[in-house]
Amino acid sequence: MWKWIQAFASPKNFYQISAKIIPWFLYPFIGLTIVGLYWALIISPADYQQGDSVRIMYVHVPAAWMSLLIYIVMAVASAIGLIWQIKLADIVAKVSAPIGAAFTFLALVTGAVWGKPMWGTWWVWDARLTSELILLFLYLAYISLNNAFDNPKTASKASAVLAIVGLVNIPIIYYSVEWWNSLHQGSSISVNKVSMQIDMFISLMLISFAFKFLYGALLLMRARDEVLIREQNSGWVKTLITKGDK
Amino acid sequence: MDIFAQLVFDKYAVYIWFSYGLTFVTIAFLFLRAKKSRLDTIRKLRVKYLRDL
Repeated sequence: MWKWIQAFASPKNFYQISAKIIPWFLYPFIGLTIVGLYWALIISPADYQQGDSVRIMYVHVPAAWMSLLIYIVMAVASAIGLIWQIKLADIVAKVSAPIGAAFTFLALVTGAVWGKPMWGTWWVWDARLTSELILLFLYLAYISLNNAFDNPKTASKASAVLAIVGLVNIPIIYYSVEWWNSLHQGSSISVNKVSMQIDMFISLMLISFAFKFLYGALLLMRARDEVLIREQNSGWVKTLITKGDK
Repeated sequence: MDIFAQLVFDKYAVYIWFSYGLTFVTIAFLFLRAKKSRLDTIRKLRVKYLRDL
């Protein structure tokens, strides 16, 4: 297993293997999105209190989950890059940041759009909303810091420290609705209990898995470019580009 | 026809369709950005190698 990971972590092997893996993420993403949208917009019932506005949940909640998951991936990859100096880990962290920022932005905006008809306001300085906004700033700070250095090694080290320190915000976001009085509703799904109608749960899961496959595909697509840039002085990249790789 | 009638969502239609529309635009943006980055990287490296010849 370790040998396989080491082999995959070599930039050249990663570049070749990832090209074959990308469709394995793209096709499930497309399939799950189509079925998920059908379930979310047609099959899933309106909520007895919130009416049809509950359908915003099927994009808002998966986007919010992705914002947390991607940050954790980014911080863990940063830590691996910092400790074991694995180039691919730095690349994973770097290319994850813009994708995570996009999902955080999506979670914040769809949350505001859902909040208006339900709470009567677009925004409140509530613990959950504020900590999610801080997450967006952390992503933006990571991206800015990573682009502020010419040397990729220095950039990775500096931004890795920020990503690891920022990890403290993740449990704050997750537990904010329990630790503080919040306008935001608590979690409807836990390990032992699902307190929502089954079709609502299926819609949520379908779109949630679609987003995970989307992240996988985008991560591999962007990581391949970053590998080419960092390995541009290697013979294999030169051969690949001059032979006309698309 | 019933399916389309179901997609009207009455007073929440604007909020729902804005959310799904924004999600679509964000995903499309992420894909286009990845595609552009790919083309830019290949072009930049090709120019560099041609200059080095």
